[in-house]
Parts: sequence; structure tokens; C-alpha cells
Amino acid sequence: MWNVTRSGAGAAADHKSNVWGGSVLAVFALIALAISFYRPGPAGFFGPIMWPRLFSILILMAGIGMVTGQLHVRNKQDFFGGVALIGLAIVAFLISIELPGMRGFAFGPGTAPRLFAGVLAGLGLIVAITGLFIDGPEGQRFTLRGVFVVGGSLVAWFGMVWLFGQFTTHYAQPLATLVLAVATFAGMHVLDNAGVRGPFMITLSIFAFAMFIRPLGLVIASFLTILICAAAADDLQMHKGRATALILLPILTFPIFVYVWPFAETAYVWPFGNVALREIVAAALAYAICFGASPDARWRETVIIAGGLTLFCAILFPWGLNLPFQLWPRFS
Amino acid sequence: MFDLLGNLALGMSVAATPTNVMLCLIGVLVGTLIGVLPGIGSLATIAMLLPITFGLPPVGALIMLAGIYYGAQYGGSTTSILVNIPGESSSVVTTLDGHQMAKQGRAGPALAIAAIGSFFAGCVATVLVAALGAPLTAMALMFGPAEYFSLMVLGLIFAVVLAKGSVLKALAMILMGLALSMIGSDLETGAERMTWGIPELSDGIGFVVVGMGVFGFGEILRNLEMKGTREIVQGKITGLMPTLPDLKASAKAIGRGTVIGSALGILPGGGAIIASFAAYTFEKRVSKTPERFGRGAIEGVAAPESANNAAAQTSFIPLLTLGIPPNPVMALMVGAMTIHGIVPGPQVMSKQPELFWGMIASMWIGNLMLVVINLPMVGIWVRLLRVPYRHLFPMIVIFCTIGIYSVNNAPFDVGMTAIFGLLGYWLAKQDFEPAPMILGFVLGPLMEENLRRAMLIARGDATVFVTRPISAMLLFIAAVMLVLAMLPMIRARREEVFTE
Repeated sequence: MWNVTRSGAGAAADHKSNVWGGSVLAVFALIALAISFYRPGPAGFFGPIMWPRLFSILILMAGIGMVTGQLHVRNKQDFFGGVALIGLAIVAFLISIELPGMRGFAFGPGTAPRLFAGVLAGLGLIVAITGLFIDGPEGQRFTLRGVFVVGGSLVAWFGMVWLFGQFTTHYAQPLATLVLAVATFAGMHVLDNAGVRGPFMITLSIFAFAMFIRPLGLVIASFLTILICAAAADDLQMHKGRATALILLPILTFPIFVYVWPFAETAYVWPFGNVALREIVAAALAYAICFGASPDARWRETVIIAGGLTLFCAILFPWGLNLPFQLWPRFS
Repeated sequence: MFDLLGNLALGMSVAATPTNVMLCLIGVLVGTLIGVLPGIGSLATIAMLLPITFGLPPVGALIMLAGIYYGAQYGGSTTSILVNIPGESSSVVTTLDGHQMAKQGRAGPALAIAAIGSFFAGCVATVLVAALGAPLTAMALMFGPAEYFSLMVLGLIFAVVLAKGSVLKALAMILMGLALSMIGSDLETGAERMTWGIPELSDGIGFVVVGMGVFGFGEILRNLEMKGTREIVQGKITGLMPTLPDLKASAKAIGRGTVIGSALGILPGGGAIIASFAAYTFEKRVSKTPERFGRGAIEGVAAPESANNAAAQTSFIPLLTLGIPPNPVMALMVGAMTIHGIVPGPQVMSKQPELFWGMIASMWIGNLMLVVINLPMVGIWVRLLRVPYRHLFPMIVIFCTIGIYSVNNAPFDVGMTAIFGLLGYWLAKQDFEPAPMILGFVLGPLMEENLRRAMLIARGDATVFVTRPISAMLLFIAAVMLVLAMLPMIRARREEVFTE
């Protein structure tokens, strides 16, 4: 295997087993199957519950086929797209299974959702089958890696923040800071290598706004959002930089934020439950600082723009447009 | 005819009040300002600017929104001509010849002819909307639930046929939209459907959330991943006005573009995009010198620009008369109207004539303003385009987020939008077209309601859709369209139109 020249390896791999893709499909199918048995719903094997089970089994078979190399996918884009649609339909089916269906000739609340989900699964199946038999367009490289990296990093980030929320004792916090800094540095590497720092940062900044706006008010929330968002600029090269500065800065600054911060309020971070707000704010700031420490960051420029934009928003929305916004944090 | 004039006069009296003219002006200006930014289409623009209209009375708000819509359309073509990045999907074709003209130093005439063509098309389309409003409303009153359902099926099939890429994938996208729209409380029984027990979801997912996420944020995510360079036309733009030969050459093109655009705009299912493509292809075909196209032919700017403006305007017809949004932008309009307590549909015209006709009259005023204001302001737009993207996108993101938050004052909505942004990003990776999904999402609840009613009235007899004549005809057209789009020969032609 290792003797194959690098250029040939990619082309050959397409016709061999796809362990990652296959196992993801198989695991998803197994979970869906398990839920379909666990979930309370209409009894009987041939009821509506039959459909999600049937489609789960199909996906399971496809996944096993891919891992063992029995299944040759000609057009990955169509195949995975179709399978994802089937997956969505299965989820929709499973969460609407306990809703009552037809009563006589009247529709129940569950009829239309299951009808739509069923047709969606059928169409997804056809799309996936097309992907098995018809070659995709030549020369286009299709990869879902970017989407997975962005999704995974977001989950990891919120997981980290949630974890810090658990360290309420003071002596644990510097340690937590260290973990955050190292993880940030490593995470930036991964994101930059996959070329998806932009999408990640944008999504993160939107989530940040959602978390900050209630407890912190418009001014601080906008400012932080813009800072995080600015880190998405594609002409910055995070991984080129001064690793020491990257790691040192958050270590120095994080405890300051955490200890000086006057809020002990909790914020609802969907879906991670309640987390102490100051940890989130500190993590966001640490993130922005990491970005600022990279050598080619336009640190001053970014802060000036963020400040100007924040001012503009603070004037435009509450005063110019007369919308009910709370500008400053609530000190409760 | 006399009725028509009387109605238009009523509309004028509403639209020409100083406040409403001001609102229209602000709408047009702000719409152009945002529409000029590359990568922001009219949908994202409207979603972003929606909160501006919250404090206004309904008529003023709708006039302003309509102004924003035309402004965004026009701003999109400005970007296409100057930067070679389409401001939005309906001005993709404009880049072909428009940017070439700009490179040859004729950016001025290109922009001017786009504005003039849009204005002419807008005038014609306004009259068309006014003229067709009454008869279509009368027809809408004959519609029962079965007909409504079939009409929506037809609209969705049109969206599939007119979307680019695989028909099958577009169909799947519609179903995905329909399934997503089922989230929330059931209208009749109040049962919670697919809400995962999250209270914020019991009202369903807002349209602004989905539209903004998939189109607005999804677009930004994709833009940031691609490291493209933008070539902005440098140098001063001189000679703004087109010469007499220019005008002569484009007069017919504008006329043809307007006809094609008006006709396609009325069809449910995303008219503006296909209208500009169709107008361009048609123009190239009838031209005596087709080889000039793609190298800066002024007809290649005039025809699609007139067509997309005409279509943008006539797409109000199904919304105002039948209450069915024919494209995502109109779907957003439904959302805006609902916020102001107006339920779009045939009853708007009879119950609130000043609103209906005022809005139509304001369309004309808005188009006039576009010509008068925008030509002298081209310099400002050019300067705006020189602002690097790294400064623009934080601005866009923060405005969008604040906009979404202000709709319901709900942080949850903002988070959901981020998730839908990721969804849009994934859809693009999979080569799934998001527009049919949005349309399915908007029509979903309406379709379910009418399907349920029709079945209930027919006592569970599903043949009602083919035994009632109007419904049967609509379904028949839908079936024919779908079959035609699937046929290999037509499919090849369709792809040709889109790649050209």
C-alpha cells in the first residue's frame, strides 16, 4: 500500500473500502434502529415504524458494504447527499412516530409529517442509488471534510466551555486556561489546514451573539461578536505564528477576566444547558486574543472597526429604529 | 379600463404623500447600498433590513420593503458589472457582457442601460400587475382547498423545473423544506410536532431564520472558504450616458426582455433568475451578430436586466392575488406582511384597497427613483466595492444577527440561524439547490392545511384533486412540466441554458 505513488493512491482508494464513511453510516443506522425499538409508538411490525427501520437497515447495509469494499460509489456527492436525506427523513419519522395518524378520513397531526418524511426518504434513496451507478462530473474533488471539521470544532468548543463551567474552584482555573490555550492553538491548526477557519469563526460569532445579547446587552455583545467574526478573515495565517505568544496571552489574560468579571449569571447554551457566563465571555476573549497574537493580524484595525461598528449599531437599532434593545449589562 | 385608472389614481394618492415618498426613497437607497455588497442577494438584504420597517404603519412598511427589493436588485447588477461577482443569482448573466463592457471603459453606459431597462420594464410590469390584479383575484375566489393545493404543487414543480442542476435533487430539496416546515404546533389539534420538547420550537421555525441562515450566512461561509480575488474595475468611470447607437441597439432588447420577464415572473417558482437567463439566450439567438455576446454587447446587459426587473415586479401578482408566494423573496414578504397584521391573499384588494394600490403605485415611483438617484451615485457604489471583504463581512454578520434577534427578541432564533447557515454550507457542498427548499418550507403549512381540508370535504376521497376541473388542469400542467424536465433532450437544453 505504501509503495503506491502518492498521485495514484487517491484514485485507487476510491475503489477500495471507505472505512470512515462506511462506519459513520453504520453507526448512524444502528443508533436509529435502537431508537426505533426503544421509542414508544404504535405496536406491530408492519405499522408506520416499519419505514424508519427498513431505511435504517438499508443504510446499515450500505455502510457495511463500504467498509468491506463491496460497495463501489461512483458519485460520492450524490450518494452521500441521498443518504443524508434518508437520514433526515428517518429522524423526522422517529420523532413524529407517536403523533396520531389518520382518524377515519380526517388527517391527524402526524399524517403530513410522516407523509413528507416518507417521500423524502424515497427521493433520497433514488438520489443515492443514482450515485452508485452514474459517474459524477470529472475533475471535481468532493469532500465533506470541511463541513465535519466545522461541526466537530463547534461541538468541541462548546464542550470545552461547558467543562470550564464545571471548574468552579479557583485553583483549577489556571489549569483550565492552559487547556483552553493549547486547544485553541491546536484547533486553529486543524481549521486552517482544512481551510475552514472562516466558516467556523462566523458560526461561532453568531452563537456568541445569541449567548451574550440577553445578559450583556447590545454594546458588549456586538463588540465581542465582531471581534470573533473578524478572526475569520482569510488573509490571516494563524499557524505561521508565534506559538508562545498564542499560548501565553490567554494564560495571562484569562484569569483576569474570570476574577475581575462581575457576573456570576448563567447563560443558556443550547444544547449544553446552563453555563456560568463569565467563562464563556473569557473563552471568547481568549479566542479573540489568540487571533490577535498571530503575526499578520491587523489587531488595531480590527478593534477600531469593531468599536465603530458597535457604536453604529448601538445608535441605529435602539434609537434610529426605535427597537427595544437593552444596551448595557444588567447588574442584578 | 376606467376602473384600472381609478385604482391607480387611488394608489398614487397613497404613494405620493411626502412620508411614503420618503420611505420609498430610503428603501431604494438602503436596498441598493446593501445589494451592492457582493454575495448578498435581495433575500438576504430584505431579511437584514426587515427590522427597519417594524415601527412603521403597514402601508409605509410595505412600500419601503418593495423599495428595498428593487434597490437590492439594482445594486446586484451594479456589482455584476463592476466586480464580475454577481450581487445575486438573478444578475449572473449580467456579468457576462456587463463586466466586459466595464473592462472596455464603458461601465457608465452599461450601468445606465441597466437602469433604463429596469425602469422601462418596471413601468410595464406595474401596469401589468394593476391590470391582472382584479381578474386574478376574481379567479382566486373560485378556488377551493383542492385547487389551492394543486396550484401550490404546480408552483413547487415550476421551482424544480426552473432550478438549475438535477431535477431529482431539487425535488428532494422541496420535500426537505416541507418536512422542516412541519416542525411546530399542529394548526388544528395543537399537538407539538417534532419539537424535541423545546418550547421555542412550538411556534415553528421562522422563515427569516431559515432564509437568512441558508442564503445569508451560508453564502458568507462559502465566500470565506473560497479564496477568490475580486477584480474591481479601476480607474474613473467616465461618459455615463449611453450614446444614441447604444440606445438604438438596446431598445428592442429591452422590449423583448420585458415581455419575457413579465411572463416568467407570474409563474410560481422563482421567475427572476430564469427570466434573465431566458432573455439573454433569446437575445443571443435573434441577434444578427451573436459572436459579440460575451464580449461586451450592450444588448446582453439590457435584455436580462429588463427581464429580471419585470419578473421581480410581476412576481407580486400571485402573492397579492392568490396569497401564494412564488419565490423565496416573496415568501419573505409574506413574513413581513404577517408581522404587520396583513394576511396576503385575495381579500387584501377588497378589504384594504389603499394598501394594495398604494404599493403598486409605489413600485413605479421606486423605479423612477432608481434611475434618478443611482446614476449620479455610481461613484459611491464603486468606492464601497473597494472596501476589502474582511471589513465587510463582520458588518454583514452583525447586522444580520441583530436583525434576526429583533424579530422576536429571541436568542434562540439567532442560534438556529447559525445552524441553518451550516446547513446551507452543507447543501452547497452536496450541490443541492437551496431555493426549492425555502419555497417548500414556506408553502408547507399552507399545503398541509389545504390538503387536509380538501380531503375532509371530499370525505377522504383522494380523487377530488383530479375530478375538479381546475385542480385537474393544474396538476396536469405540473405533471407535463415534470416529465418534460426529465426527458433527456430537454434536459440537455436546460443545462445548455444554464451554462451559457
